[in-house]
This record gives sequence, structure tokens and C-alpha cells, in this order.
Amino acid sequence: MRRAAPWCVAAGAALLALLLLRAQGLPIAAALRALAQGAFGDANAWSATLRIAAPLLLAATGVLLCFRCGLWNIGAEGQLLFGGLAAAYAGGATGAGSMALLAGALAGAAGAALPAWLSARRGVPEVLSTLMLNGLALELLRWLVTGPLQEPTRQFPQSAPLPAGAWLPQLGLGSTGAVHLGLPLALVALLVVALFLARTRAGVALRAGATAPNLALAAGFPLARARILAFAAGGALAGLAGAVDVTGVARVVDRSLAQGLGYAAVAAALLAGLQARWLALSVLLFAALQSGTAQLQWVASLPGIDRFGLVLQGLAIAAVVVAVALRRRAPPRPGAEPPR
Amino acid sequence: MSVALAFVGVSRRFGARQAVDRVDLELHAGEIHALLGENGAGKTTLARMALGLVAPDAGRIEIAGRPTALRDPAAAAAHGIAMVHQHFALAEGLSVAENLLLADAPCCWSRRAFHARAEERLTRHGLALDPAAPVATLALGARQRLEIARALERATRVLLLDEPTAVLTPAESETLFAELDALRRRGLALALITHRLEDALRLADRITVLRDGRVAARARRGELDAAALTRAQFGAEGSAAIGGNALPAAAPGTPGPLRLVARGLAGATFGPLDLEVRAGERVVVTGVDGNGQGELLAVLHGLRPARAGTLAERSAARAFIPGERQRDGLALPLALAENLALGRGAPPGRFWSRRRLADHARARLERFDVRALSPWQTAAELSGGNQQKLVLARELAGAPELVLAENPTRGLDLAATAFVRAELCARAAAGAGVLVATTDLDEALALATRLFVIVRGRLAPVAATRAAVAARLAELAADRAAGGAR
Amino acid sequence: MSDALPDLAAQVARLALPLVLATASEVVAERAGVVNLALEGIVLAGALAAWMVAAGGGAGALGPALLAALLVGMVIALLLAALVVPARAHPLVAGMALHFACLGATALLFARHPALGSVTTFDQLASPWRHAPWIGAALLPFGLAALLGRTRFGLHLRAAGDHPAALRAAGGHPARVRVLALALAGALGGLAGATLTTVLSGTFVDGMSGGRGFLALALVLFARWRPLGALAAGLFVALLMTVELRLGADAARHGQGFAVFALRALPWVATITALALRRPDRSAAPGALNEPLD
Repeated sequence: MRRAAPWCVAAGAALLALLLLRAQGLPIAAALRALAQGAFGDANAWSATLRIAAPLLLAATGVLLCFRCGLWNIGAEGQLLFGGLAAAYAGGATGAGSMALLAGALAGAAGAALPAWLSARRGVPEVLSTLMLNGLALELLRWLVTGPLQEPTRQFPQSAPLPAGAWLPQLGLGSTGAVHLGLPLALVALLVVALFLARTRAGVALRAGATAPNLALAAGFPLARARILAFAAGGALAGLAGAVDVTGVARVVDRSLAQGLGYAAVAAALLAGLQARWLALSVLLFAALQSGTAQLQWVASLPGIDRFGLVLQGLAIAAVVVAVALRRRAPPRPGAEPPR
Repeated sequence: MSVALAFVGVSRRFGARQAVDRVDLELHAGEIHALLGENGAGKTTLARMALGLVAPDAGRIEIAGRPTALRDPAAAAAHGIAMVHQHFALAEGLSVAENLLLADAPCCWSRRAFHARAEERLTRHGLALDPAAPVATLALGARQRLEIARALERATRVLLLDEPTAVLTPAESETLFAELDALRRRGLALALITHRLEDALRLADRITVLRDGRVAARARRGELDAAALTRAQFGAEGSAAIGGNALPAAAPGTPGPLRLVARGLAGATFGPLDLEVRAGERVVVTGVDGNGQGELLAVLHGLRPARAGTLAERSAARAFIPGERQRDGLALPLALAENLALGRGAPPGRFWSRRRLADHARARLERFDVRALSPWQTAAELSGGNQQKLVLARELAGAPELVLAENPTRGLDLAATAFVRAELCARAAAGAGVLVATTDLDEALALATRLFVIVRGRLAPVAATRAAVAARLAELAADRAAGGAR
Repeated sequence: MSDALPDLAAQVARLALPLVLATASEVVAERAGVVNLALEGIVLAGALAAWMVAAGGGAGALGPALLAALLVGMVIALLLAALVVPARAHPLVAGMALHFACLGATALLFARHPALGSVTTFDQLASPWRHAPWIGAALLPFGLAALLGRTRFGLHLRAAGDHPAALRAAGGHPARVRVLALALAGALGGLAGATLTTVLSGTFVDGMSGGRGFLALALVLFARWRPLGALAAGLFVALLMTVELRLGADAARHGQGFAVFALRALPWVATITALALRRPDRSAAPGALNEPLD
């Protein structure tokens, strides 16, 4: 009975989601069909979905890395912005895509290094410092696209278009062919992070340090330093996500950069239960949700339905969280220590 | 003397562990009844039963002769039962007055009225504390007096005290004893839960010794002496059969190279002390918990800085088996194979394949008899005993030159215990210096080639026989009970 | 810029309104032992609720609007409580989940009803009621301080956040107290949002909360988890924001983009700096923050 509880929760959440959808005034079948159509219906739909999935996967991988190490880094949004801005600048200045990506990763790492240091040395909770940086990053974006980074004619609040040399190479798919190198890059990053966490000495020690710091320290592992590096790496991945978004799709930076992608990355990581093997699927689900609901908005002319995806995100995480907590409350195994 | 509270044939089991087994115990009004026993003997469980936090599986609790079901702390309080907790039930962020009045605060109040009420209670208990002071600013002794006052507000019949002298200086303990005496004369039934012989001998009208959940001995004041009580606590009678394996004595001949040299080493809770451990030796430090063993080992391993003294010699190839297995010994959410890949016992190289991790783990799991379904189970899923074996599997594999261990067989059954002890002896025979801190006297006697008793952070060498240890402990207890110097 | 001081003070007070309420809300939640990461979402939802009820309704709709915001905030906080207390989810994760849900739901509802007419804000009232928000917000911290410090509920609340075991030993119910505290916090957060649409401006804009909820989370540390501290912290940050607005308007006119940015970034930078400079001892923090109850 206990073991069935998580599935009950999942079923309940799905039911609730469907009911909410119905309450929007849509027959469920038609809605689901439109969603699927928008996400996977044809090559265009696929490329729309994958276009969102690539940076989302990069950022979510960074979040997963941090959370597994016990670092509550919810600053992916800000790190993404820093990365995108740096990429636009570097790409414009050097005309090379690789420089743009590198700049993006470094900017993201820098954006994470500060909270990391503050947490290690000054005891500032990462949750708060990363949240503050998110706010700061947004203001930075607003300034740069109307100021130093603005395009030459000074007419639109956006950066100069990226020179072609800085564009991310495309992999042909569909007429708009908007699947770029970012996707394989993200998959590689996920693989690397997953292997690092599971198969290297440092990765295992970092994960151990999340719940048993004394153990890691007793084993002679430089835990404090490693945590700062892991935090920075997570930030670098989010920064890279921003860079990929800018050089791969938009080719320009305007106020709509990121727009919740960083927080969605947190949501995707949580939904995947912080397990790398589920992350790609979770990210795909979120990306599909976003492109699907955009289609839904078009088809069903229901304004704002694309925001419904956010509601579903929240619902999904809540369901996962409750399911996990319920499973943990299973009766103790024989020989367990008595409760204190 | 009437019986205020009685446990009649109570039993309680947690999982596979029988915490309390058919215990009969009576608390008489106007008496101090000491409950002696080691960790895990069942004392705390009995106390929690009296407080309504835990219900007995069998048997009953009688209050003033009438069977009563205590469903929650409020019910216990209604019957006049309260406890002075070992880790005080005081909210540090709140003030003295707020803690004192937490149980029966009025709906709303003015500051002056509130403090006046608190003052009244403070005076009644003879406490000269500022009602507005945050508890966090109070010294330990003051906090305990407050904790006692808090408990006394509810305790009109039975007052339980859980290890009350654990954190007190000798002077503070004296004050406490005087208070307890006064309470006794007022007619309260006092239960003193402790593992300190000297306190029991000094104060108690009755003593009950618990071991493994059962009553091991009962006595009234003056009937049993320290040595007999020690025997009852540690299980001298009938616990000699540990698999029947005789453990190898210390290797005779030339002493091996030094593995550990500490001079004048001191920490917050121990020292200064000198200690040497050579290859082939098994040095055991025995004593009850809370006398500085934990910090000593942490400092020796380098986890914490020493406050004074030096470590002139210390092998780099060290094994460290911490006392708090779940917090410091294992990463519970991680898999067995991953736990085994930490520290010195890790497989070579920086990057491992899943197969390599699993093979590495399987070999060790089998060698150390860890009962698990797969190396990919999480450490949290193992039973307590298997968890400890996992820790050993990680630390003792490879060839450590120095082994530091705290309570290495805590929670293990007899077979596993024998296995571990044999393992430690084998390490020593293979050239390691082994230093073990343990609360289990049998273990100390079985393992030691050199034995120390640790009391209040100081080491006192003692011959490795039961009689010698009992005598030394009693001597130290009597020493302190009489207010003698250390 | 020697505008009359009262003018400056009035502007500071306006900006302080939602901040003080949001910070006070978080003080209540954290004192009970739960960090409410959904606060930003609650503020936004409260703003929307108030707007939807008050839009086109004239002066009489203001009261019901506040009530609606209060109830909406309370419901969301109770959802958080349900996740955190009986289901024992980690408060930060549960808060994140609700944050997304709130963001999505408010954006959705707003997109459905984008033009509901204008709200008669408190400023536009002729009657003495126009001072209600100020008086309310000024008195609230004192009221909360009294609630926390002089009532049994407040005492139990603080004990639940500091040492739940001590509360249970005293016969209290930490779980029940935490749920009630969250309900109160939610109500205050909803009111904070309501001030955005019924006092500061008369319309609702997507993303109106502007990070105020998150800011409040950080301000609680400076308020040292006290309601009166919330008042001071809110006023201080509002002062910073006012300076930013005034100087920023100037700078924008003169095309000094960087100055505008610097000023707008001020609240975030100031908060991080202050967090960093804080003494690392967290002795003022509730002892059992975010710890699950057994």
C-alpha cells in the first residue's frame, strides 16, 4: 500500500492537470492533440521543441550538478543572462562562435563564483545570494541592450546582430532547420556531468559531502574548495546555455533573453528527481510543454494558455516532492535504530 | 513508602531490536531510584514510556497503583510526571520566562505581568535568573537549573532526570545533589537515569541495573558495591562466550616501529595526555561515553585541531572508524559501491567503470560479511550492523598502518562482533598500530594488549583484567564522590 | 532637487508598503521554522486577485479586493503547509513548485482578462479611508510584535521555529502551529500584493511583483526576524528605491544609461553586500529553520 502511494500521487496530479485544462474551455482530447502537434507534429514543431530543449538541458545539467552536491543554486536564470550577454559581446568583438561560447561559460562561472565564495566564507545562504544576482542580471540586461551593447542604429533595444562567423553551426532539420550544435553539446555536457558524479573520486566525494561532510573531510578530500569549483561549474553550464541560445537561435540579444528558462531548468532538474538518467526526458517534457502550449494558443485562440505550462511545472514538482516524501516514510526495516 | 509509578512487565521493540524486555520497576515517593546501564540498555526507552512519548508493546504502567495509559506528554503532565532532559528541552532563542511559562502561558499578557509570574516561579525554585535573559546566554549549570525548574512545574509526582551530571562541573553537581535531596524530602519520586556509578552510589535509595533491555541487578542503598555494579552493567556474568575464539595475544619480541606519538595533547574535552602506539599493538581506551574519547580520536586523525601538544609521529596510511556511524561514517543516500569508493579504500585511478566499482565493492562486501542484495543499494537501506560492517570494509581494506576506531562493534551481533575483533587483531599482527576507544568492557578486555581507562579526558593505565578495571573505576568514583582530587 | 521633504517621504512610504508587508510575512513564516520561497508568487497572486475584484468596481470594491488578496495568499500558503508539514517535503523545493504554479496561474488568468477597467486606488478616495493602507501598514509591525511576543500563539510559534521538541514537551503542537503561521504569512503576503494594485498603481502588469518577494526573503535577515525590523528594513530599501527613481529619472533624461542601471540594481547589490558584511553568526535565526518535525 505504501509503495503504491507515489503512483497515486502521480495519477492524482495528472488528473488535476487534465481538469485544469478542461476548465480552460477546451475539450481534453482536442487539447492534448494540439499540444502534441505543437511539440512533435512536424519537423518545424520538433525544431521548436529542440530549440528550447538545448539551452534548457545545459542549464538543468548545471543545476543538477549543484543540487547533487548539496548546493542550492537557483541562480541559473541570472547565470544564463550573464552568459548570453558575454557571448553577444565576445561574438561581436571576435566574430568567432567558439569565443562566444567560451565567454558565456566564463561569465556564468563568475556569476556563480560569488555566491559560492559568500556561502563558504561568509555563511551567506546560496538561495538568497543567487536570487539577488538573478535580479541584478535582469537589470544588467536591460541596461546593456539599451546602452553599450545596443545595435548601431540605436532604434531597437537589442544588441547588434551577431556576425555570421559567430553563429552556431546548424544541423539540418526541417525548413527552418533550427537545430543547432547546442543540442549535441548539451547531451555531451549531461554525459560528462553524469559520469563525473557517478564514476570519479571527486564526484562521489562531493555527493557524500552533501549529507556527510565529516566523512569527506575524514577521507582527506578538500571539500570546501571542491564545492566552490562545483558551484562555478554549474554556473558555467548555465552561462553556456545562455551563449547557446544567443549564438544558435536568436543571433541577437534583446529583453526577451532567458525569460524564465533558468527557473525552468531548476524545475526540470527537480522533476527528474535530480537523476541524470531522467534529466533529458524531463527537459524534453518541459520543452514540449512550452512549444506545445504556444501552438495551443495559436490554434485554440486562448490567450495566455502558454503560461499554463508553468502551472503544470509547479504541479509536476509538487507531485514528485510528495511522492518522494511518502516513500521515505515507509515503515523501518528490521534492525533499524530506535527513534530518538 | 507508596509507589508513585510502576512499570509492570513492560516490553518494547523497535524493528528487530528488543529495547525493553519484561521489566518490572517501581518508583517510590520520597526516594531516589537510580537506573544504571550502558547506552542501549533500555533506560531512555523506559523514560519515554513514562512521559507518554512511546507506548509499551506489552505490560502496563501503574500510577499510584492504577493502570494508566499515557497517550502523550500532556497526559503524562496531567499525572504529574515530568523529565529533566539530557539535551535540555529549552528553546534557546526564547527567554527564561518564556521557557518557564511555555507549558501554561495565558492567552495574552503584558510584559510586566509575564515577568512577574516568571519571577514568582523562579523564586519558588530558588533561581536567581533574569526572566528576560535569552536562554542562549546562560551557562550550562544555569540552564540545567532552569530545565529542572521547568520540569518541576509539572512534576508533582514523578521527576525523571536523564544523565543530569553529564555536563556539570563537580561544584555544579554538588548543588544539584543538594536540590535532589530537598526534592526527595518533599515526597517526590525521583528517577535518576545515569551510567555514572559514582552518582548512583552517592544519591540512590534504590538502584536498578539494566542491560540489554532487562533488569540485571537490583539493590538498595549499601547492598552492592561499585565493583558488583560495574559487573552487572557490563555483563560479567555469562557474556564470556564470544564465539569461543581466543584472540591472539600481543606479538612478543622486539616492539614494532612507532605509528603514533602524542605529547601533551589536549582538546576541549580531553588532555593533556601522552600516548604512544606501536606497530603490532592493540591499545584500548575504555570508559563511558562523554569522557572525551570522540574528540581525542578526531584530533588524532586530524579532523579537528588540538588545543595544545604535538603529534610527533602519525602514520599517513590511517583508518578512521568514527563513533557516529550514520552521521560521519557513511553517506547514507549513496550506494554501497560508492561509499566504498571514498578515501583510502578507493579503487585506483580517477575514473571508474560501473563494473570496476561493483567488483571492487563485491570483494569487500563479501570479505567483511556485509549482507546486502547488491552493491548498488543505498547505505541507508542496510541494517545498523551491516552499516558498521560497511564502514569497516572501507577503512580496513588496504594495509593501514594505524587504525583509529571508536566503538567499532556497537550494534553488532555476537558473530559480527567476533569477526570485527578478529579483523582488528589481524591488522595489528600485520603491522598496524591499533587504537580503539570503546564503552564495552568485554571488548576492551578481549582486544587490549595495553589498556587505559579514560575519565574526564584523562588516561589512566590499568591492567587488562576485569577485576583491575572494576577496581580502578570504583576507585576513581569513590575519589570523586568524596570530593577528592583527580 | 530640493522638493519638499514631505514629498520624498510620501514616495518612500509608497514604495515601502509592499516591502514591509512582504518582509513581515516572511518574518512570521521563518519564526515558525519555514522558509517561504513561494512568497514572490503569493505577492503576484495577491496583486492579481485584488485587481480583478477591484477593477471597475469603484471605491466600494476596495475592501473586498483586499479580502480577496488576503484569502488567495492564505490558500497558497496553506498548500505550502500541506506539502511541508504532513508530506514533509523540503520547504525550498515545495516553495519553488508553488512559485512556478503561481507564476503560471496569474499569467494565465491575466491573459484571459486583460482589460477589466480601472481600479479606484486608495489615493483617489475622498473619504478618510484613503489613509487606511498607511495606518494599517504602520500599525501592523507593532501588532505583529505584540502577537509574537505577548500572546500564547506567538510564543508557541516562536518555540516551534526554535525548538519544536521543547514545545512538544510543554504540551504544544508544533505541526499545527506551523500550519497556522503559514496561513498568517500567506495572508500578509497577499496583502502585500494587493497594495501593488490598489495603492501604488491602478492596474495589473505581468510580473508586477518585480522580485519584491525574493527581496523580502533577504530582508528578513536584516530585520533580525523581528516585525519592527521588517518595518525598518522595508523603509530603508524603499529609500534606496526612491533615490534610484529620482536620480534615475534625471539620468535617463540626460541619457546616462549606466547611472540608471546602477540605481536600479541598487536594491540587489545593496542586499548582497549587506549579506556578505553581516557577521557570520546566525544566532538571531530561528533554531529549527527548515527542519522537519518528527
